[in-house]
Amino acid sequence: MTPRAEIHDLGYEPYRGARTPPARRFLTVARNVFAVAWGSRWGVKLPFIISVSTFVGASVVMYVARNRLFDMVRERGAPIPRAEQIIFFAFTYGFELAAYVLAAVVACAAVANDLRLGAFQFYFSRPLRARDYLAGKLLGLALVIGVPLFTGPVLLAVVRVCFAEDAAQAVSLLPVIPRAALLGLLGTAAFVLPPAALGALLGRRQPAQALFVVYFVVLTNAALAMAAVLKVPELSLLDVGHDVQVVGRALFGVGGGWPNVGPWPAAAALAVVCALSLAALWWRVAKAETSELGGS
Amino acid sequence: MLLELTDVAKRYGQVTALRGLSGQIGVAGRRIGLLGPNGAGKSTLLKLLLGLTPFEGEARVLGLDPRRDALAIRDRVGYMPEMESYLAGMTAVQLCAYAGELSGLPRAAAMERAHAALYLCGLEDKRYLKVETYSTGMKQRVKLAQAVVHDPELLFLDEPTNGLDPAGREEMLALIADLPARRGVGVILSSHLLPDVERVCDEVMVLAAGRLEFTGTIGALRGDSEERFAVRVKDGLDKLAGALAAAGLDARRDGEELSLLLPGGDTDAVFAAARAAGVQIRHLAPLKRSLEAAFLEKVKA
Amino acid sequence: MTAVVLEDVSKWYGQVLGVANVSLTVGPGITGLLGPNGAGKTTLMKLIAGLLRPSRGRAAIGDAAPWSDLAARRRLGYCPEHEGIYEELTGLELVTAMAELSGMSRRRARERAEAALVDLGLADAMNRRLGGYSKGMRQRAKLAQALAHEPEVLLLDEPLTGCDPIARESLVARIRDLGAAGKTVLVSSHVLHEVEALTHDIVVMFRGRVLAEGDVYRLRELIDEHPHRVRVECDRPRALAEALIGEDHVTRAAFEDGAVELMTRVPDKLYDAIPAAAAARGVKIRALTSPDNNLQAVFEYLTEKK
Repeated sequence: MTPRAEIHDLGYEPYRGARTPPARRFLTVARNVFAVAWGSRWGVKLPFIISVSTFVGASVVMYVARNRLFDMVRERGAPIPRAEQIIFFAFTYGFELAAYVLAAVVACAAVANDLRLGAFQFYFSRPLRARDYLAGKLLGLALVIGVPLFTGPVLLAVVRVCFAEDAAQAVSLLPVIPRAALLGLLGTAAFVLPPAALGALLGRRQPAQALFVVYFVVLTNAALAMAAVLKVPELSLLDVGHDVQVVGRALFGVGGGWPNVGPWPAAAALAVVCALSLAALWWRVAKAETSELGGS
Repeated sequence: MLLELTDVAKRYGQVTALRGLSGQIGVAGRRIGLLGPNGAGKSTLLKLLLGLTPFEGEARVLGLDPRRDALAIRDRVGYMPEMESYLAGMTAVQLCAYAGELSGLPRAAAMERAHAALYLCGLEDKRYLKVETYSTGMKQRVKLAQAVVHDPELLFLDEPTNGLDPAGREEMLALIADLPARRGVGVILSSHLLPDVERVCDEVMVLAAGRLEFTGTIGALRGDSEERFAVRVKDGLDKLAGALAAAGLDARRDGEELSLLLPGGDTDAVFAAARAAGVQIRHLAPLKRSLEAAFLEKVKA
Repeated sequence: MTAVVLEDVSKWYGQVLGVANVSLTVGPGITGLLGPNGAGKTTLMKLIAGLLRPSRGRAAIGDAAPWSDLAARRRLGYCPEHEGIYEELTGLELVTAMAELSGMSRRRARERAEAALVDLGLADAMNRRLGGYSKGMRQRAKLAQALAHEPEVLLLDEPLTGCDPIARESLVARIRDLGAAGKTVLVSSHVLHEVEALTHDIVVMFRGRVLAEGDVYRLRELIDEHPHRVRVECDRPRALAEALIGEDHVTRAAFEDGAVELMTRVPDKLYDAIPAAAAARGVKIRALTSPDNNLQAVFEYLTEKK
């Protein structure tokens, strides 16, 4: 028998396997958005800490709030929230805070960085259309921001159902879960689309972040103050975060929250802002698809 | 055949970017230089070949129609852009693997090939660093690596040696020259540096003011002649010219060299004249016009 | 006729070394400044332009130091590599402003600026905003800005980068004219073919120091650790090699189809020996060339890692 000898060429081998269908490649973009966000440092760690502590804290408060004692006090007119209403407060004062940081750090940068670094040449020389790119980016951002803003309240709702005294109460509490999910979806849309659109329109991360922060810290409070001073509550519709809260109050039966123009106008305002953001994103990305490649 | 064009034209409103492009490209070789001044329509041509913009006429890339099969074409083409192009916060390996996945490779295959592509481009020890920390030369290599990661059959390279120092440029050119041999991949190289094109390509297409002025081999564009020679000497170029004139040869001085016609390529008379004049010949070879000169002639015509 | 003189100049930025112990005289005509990235070319230019102050040693234009003497700076034009170009200005506004800064009256500055821009083929574009200029047009605007005040010394840092061949041809012609007119022109470039088209006189920077200076072909002869290669295309290469292999300066002969490549330590002797041997053996030479006699080879041998 002849002794065997073989030298392998370690050079670059042709790829002979199957390729994934182009229609599914937006999922790759989405996963990349999520992976890059997860890999960045404090921008994700801080919201993570906020979300987890909100979840644990709210669970404990809900456990305590089931106590009959509170029911008795509440019947006498004391403003103590019911256990499931805790979900709304956790959403407003905990999860939204985390989402706010994520929106500023991740969503503002998502399209802006691609514009600045010439990444559209990278994307559109590949089998990817503008709609695949946009769907992938937005899905990825929704996954990132949905971790606190959607999963958070939904899990709390599940926890609430588990804390039920008996089967009958558990069944009666079940609608809390879709309500939490709806609130989570609206919040996610409000924290994904406008900041991403700001980034796309400005083309740079830092100005987009600055504008986003200015909007949330200065303009929204100014709108609320003007609404109070001028006695025109409709002005509060300009505050997207407030709109989400107004809808949330309606969903969880929590009163107050002045200026409150009711859930339907708030939902409509939210829809208009999201639609405008989406249109701006689409316009910018579609323009980049045909203009970026090969320079000007 | 890499490209087939039939009466390809492109108008932006009133402006005609490309008019009546016809030709079969990739006949003689697999490395094609795409030459043309700024605004000649190179990037427009590239866009329409990748199906990113509508056009008139018929075109085929690797036998596929950009109108109907744009995505299939882009699966089989790799593009190395001229301008900076990378993604924030990603290492070279992540970037290349992502590129592979976007071009349809499964995750595991994309990761394997990302490493192979980075080895190929000489970035093995820098693979795990973020691309934004790279030097110009390294960024250039990553751009090449992400263009080959999905095993394309055709590569568009746009000014690949831009901003590189002489050593870096040499390495990049060697890499590109090596690609067809190792990978059987067709290369379309667009560059303003004609010596680079001369070094790497077999065939050129010249685009000027939206027209295809020339397609063919580099030799044909230069109009290489077997009988016109160039002579350079150590000292005493004029002395040699005198001696050649005495021998009945008409030598024209062109800078530091003489240019003369030798019927049948017979060089004996030149050496004899040099011996008579006591001049040492340092270079004697058929005159190759520079590609640059030939190109300028074509474009200005 | 103004020469640039550097005497034992060093420049550090904190701990970072820019250039070290550079002594150099650049006279009238064109001199090519070469070197890998980070070798100190731009630092050297800025020291000459008076934009940096030497940490040690002396830089002079003629006999004035550009760092301290504004009059010396008026005698030089500097075309930087990177564009600190003002996108909102028109080409004419930029060049006029720069000429005024060089001490010309407003009217004269405008005249000169216009002349320089027209001269560089920007007549049509000079009233448009710089933001809309192509790379080649920006390079020409930068050059016009360096030329408008008619300096005697010109420092051009990568002036041809990004130009297409047509723009490059006209720029090369313009720079050659300046050299022929007796100006002192120092041009840096990464692209050795471009330098080769401009001049044979080079300065090679390496790791912050001047590694070599002078005529390219003379420099090649000084590099003796790299035997010189001469390629002869002929009808009987082995017969020719047989006649030459006896010469003790010939170190190697390699054969290809219809050609032999000879290596020698003493090129001068080999160039004399080849025609003689061919005549003696009746070998017909078709071509005689050397792959070593160009700037690329010289540069590679010089900057090879030692």
